[in-house]
Amino acid sequence: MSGSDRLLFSKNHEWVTGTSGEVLVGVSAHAVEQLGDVIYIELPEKGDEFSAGDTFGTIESTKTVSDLYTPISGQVIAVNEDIQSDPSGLQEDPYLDGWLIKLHCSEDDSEPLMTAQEYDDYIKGH
Amino acid sequence: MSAKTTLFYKHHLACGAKMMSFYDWLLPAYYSGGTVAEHLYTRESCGVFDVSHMAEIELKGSGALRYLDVLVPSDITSLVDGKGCYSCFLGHDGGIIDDVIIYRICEDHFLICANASRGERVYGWLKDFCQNPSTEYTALVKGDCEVFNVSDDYLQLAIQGPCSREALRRILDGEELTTAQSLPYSAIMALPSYALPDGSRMAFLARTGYTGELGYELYVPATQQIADQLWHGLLPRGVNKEPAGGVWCVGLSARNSLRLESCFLLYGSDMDESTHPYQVGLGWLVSKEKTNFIGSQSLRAYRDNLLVPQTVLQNKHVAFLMLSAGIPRQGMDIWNHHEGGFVIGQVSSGGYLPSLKSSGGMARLQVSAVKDHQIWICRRSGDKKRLAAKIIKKPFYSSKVRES
Repeated sequence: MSGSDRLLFSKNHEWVTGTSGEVLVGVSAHAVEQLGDVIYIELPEKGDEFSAGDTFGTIESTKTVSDLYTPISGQVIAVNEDIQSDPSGLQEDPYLDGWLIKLHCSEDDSEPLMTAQEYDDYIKGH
Repeated sequence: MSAKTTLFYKHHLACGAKMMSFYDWLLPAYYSGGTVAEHLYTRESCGVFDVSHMAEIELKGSGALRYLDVLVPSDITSLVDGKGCYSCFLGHDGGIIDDVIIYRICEDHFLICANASRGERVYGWLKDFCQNPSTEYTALVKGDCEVFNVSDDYLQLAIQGPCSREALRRILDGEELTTAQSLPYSAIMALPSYALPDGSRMAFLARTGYTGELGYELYVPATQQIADQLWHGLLPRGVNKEPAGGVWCVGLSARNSLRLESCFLLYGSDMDESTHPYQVGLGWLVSKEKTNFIGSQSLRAYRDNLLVPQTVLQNKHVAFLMLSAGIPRQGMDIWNHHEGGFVIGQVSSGGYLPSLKSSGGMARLQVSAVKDHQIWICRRSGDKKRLAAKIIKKPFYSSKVRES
């Protein structure tokens, strides 16, 4: 899982990474692989606020449409417009250029998260 | 019951296929390239599809043509030896039992390609009729007509795309290749080089398909040796994509998006036994000259507005293109207004359309309630947000497949 070592993963297959109150949120390579060709990504507006566990957008592939959940509370300070206009980038790299939103988080109230290794074991068990 | 696999199964796995369940079958949805790439490659080069799950039924005997003429609404008597046509079988109530390709090998031998999910139903329907035709038709049928379900005896590969004529060079040679490469649209020829040596099973190549491109469908005896020979012959590099102009393996998912772009119907989604041909834009299959075929009375009643509720008559089969981001899928409600209004139908088939870089679908809609071709689709029941779409002229995509 190159590129995912410093990330933490949720059971909903999102990842987060960040420091000093700024957190990037994306979806895991495993989730992208399961989805097949991703066609549309619907993301929130800058300034929108979410609590941990909220839906912040949708990801739609040739197969299905899925909700995106944020594992941590915060306010959107940036959205990845490149990935929104061309979601094929997500298949190439879901971890670096494939981030979806950047949140400003005032507190760390995230749901329990997994390391890359723990997440690997988790998806193997499902 | 475990899912059936085709004799190409090991090749699918070797090519990294994501397998999917399709009725009784386990079939490749897509390979490592993904649906969109496979779709676009078929449009510009050539895709090879394992469609061995499709059902094949043969009608043989001196009365085959006369029996078939009663069984289909279309003018099958004008079909000449070595040609195929799209048609359907109707129930007595006019409902579509299946849509099929019927090839006339000769007057006493027809090969019918039916949908995988309908093979048993079609076989039973034809066998019952040929063994014991209902009294109103006994005057029309003469001679004998035997029905054979040969689905398990044939493999079927579709070779589709503008470079498919060139791709035939990989599996045919000599005079057979020359004849195959000049095969006209919808024609079928025997391929002695792939027939079983003992003469028990023939092989055929037809210039037909389900993608809207120049293409061929190959019916060959179901032996592992022939399967291996064809797969390796057509795809010497396995899953590795050849440059433009080459050949690549393509899964069922792209087969679906290719047929959707061409507005070809899918049995089970766009129609079933409760659907008349007129309701899904297949009125052109119903011959104007023929008066007595199974389902004809019901169709006449339908056409003459008898016994049919006005709401059904107002429904039209249409294609629509999405204006908002979002993919329409089977069963989603379609509304006549972006808020309020009412449901005017459901998506019968829909999806992403890679050639258009957009999404669209087909539906049977109460078009009298639609203003300016504008419709709205509700992706999930309970969703307040409706996605905008517009009704367009069919199809989404068309190539000059007949002329080339």
